[in-house]
Amino acid sequence: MRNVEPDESDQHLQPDEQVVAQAHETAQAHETAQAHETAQAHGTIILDTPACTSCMLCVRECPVWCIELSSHTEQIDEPGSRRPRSVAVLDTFTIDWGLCMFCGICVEVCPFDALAWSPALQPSASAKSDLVAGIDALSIDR
Amino acid sequence: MGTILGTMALIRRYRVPGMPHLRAHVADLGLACCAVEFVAAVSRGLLVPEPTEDASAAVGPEADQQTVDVLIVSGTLTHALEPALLRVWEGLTQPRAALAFGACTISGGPYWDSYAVAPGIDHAIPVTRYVPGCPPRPEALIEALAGLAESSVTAGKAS
Ligand code: SF4
Ligand code: SF4
Ligand code: SF4
Repeated sequence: MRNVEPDESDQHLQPDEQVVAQAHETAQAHETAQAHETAQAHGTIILDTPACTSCMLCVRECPVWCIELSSHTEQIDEPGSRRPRSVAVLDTFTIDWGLCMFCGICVEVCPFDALAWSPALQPSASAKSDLVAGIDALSIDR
Repeated sequence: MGTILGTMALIRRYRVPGMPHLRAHVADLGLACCAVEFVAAVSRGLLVPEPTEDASAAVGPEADQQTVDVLIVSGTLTHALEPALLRVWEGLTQPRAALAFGACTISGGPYWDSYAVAPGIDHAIPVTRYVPGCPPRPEALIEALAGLAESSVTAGKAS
């Protein structure tokens, strides 16, 4: 980052207060932008499991086919309703980080906002199989 | 082309600040987009180029025994380049470890279905650590090297 304080060799200069104030402002804006950028960093993707309807859109839109999911259908018979409703219940959901391009298409395509970016760094692993993340790993709020 | 890549000329060596017993060898093999992140890591000082002359002399043979030679492979490895990668790997002294940097080196990445691309560099050489990303961030490289440093300390040596 730019040092806005005049250093010793500059001390013979009379700093223009307005210029110094402006420089401080610029530095602060830069810092805020950097913090914003870090918070927005596309580090990894997280899953809001209850929001996922197992609609398969992300699975089919992923360019490298690195998402897999399985689900089953349950009948919900609510008192007063004319007939039972069928709902899909998510059983498994995995993303293979060893294949993922971190392109965000799955995040964009999900109609239920069940997938979201997290700024956390996706860590390395000593085995390829450890890069396949299931519901537990994906649900961690990072 | 194979003979050119078979020489060690395309290997660049780096020291990792804070991890004195790691010496990173960066293979410019199958150079692709991931290499840009190396430039970023070097320009941030996360990796420091090793002086080419007297490097081993300055470190000495004893210290050298504890040094783990880390081969960092980034980019898309085609089947045609596999023998070259193997030759580079065999040219490294033990203990050594290979780091797969990026989706292409782990699984073929976006080209996993290509007839010409290896489904990961572990098709050709043993890999100690896999770094996800397309490309991974420079911080991911340091995280992986730290993980490698830890495991090499606990294991006594790498493969
Ligand atoms: S970020 Fe892209 S490559 Fe990764 S899971 Fe989502 S759609 Fe697939
Ligand atoms: S697109 Fe969203 S709701 Fe549909 S399966 Fe994927 S994560 Fe679940
Ligand atoms: S992993 Fe992605 S960024 Fe790296 S070389 Fe392959 S395609 Fe390029």
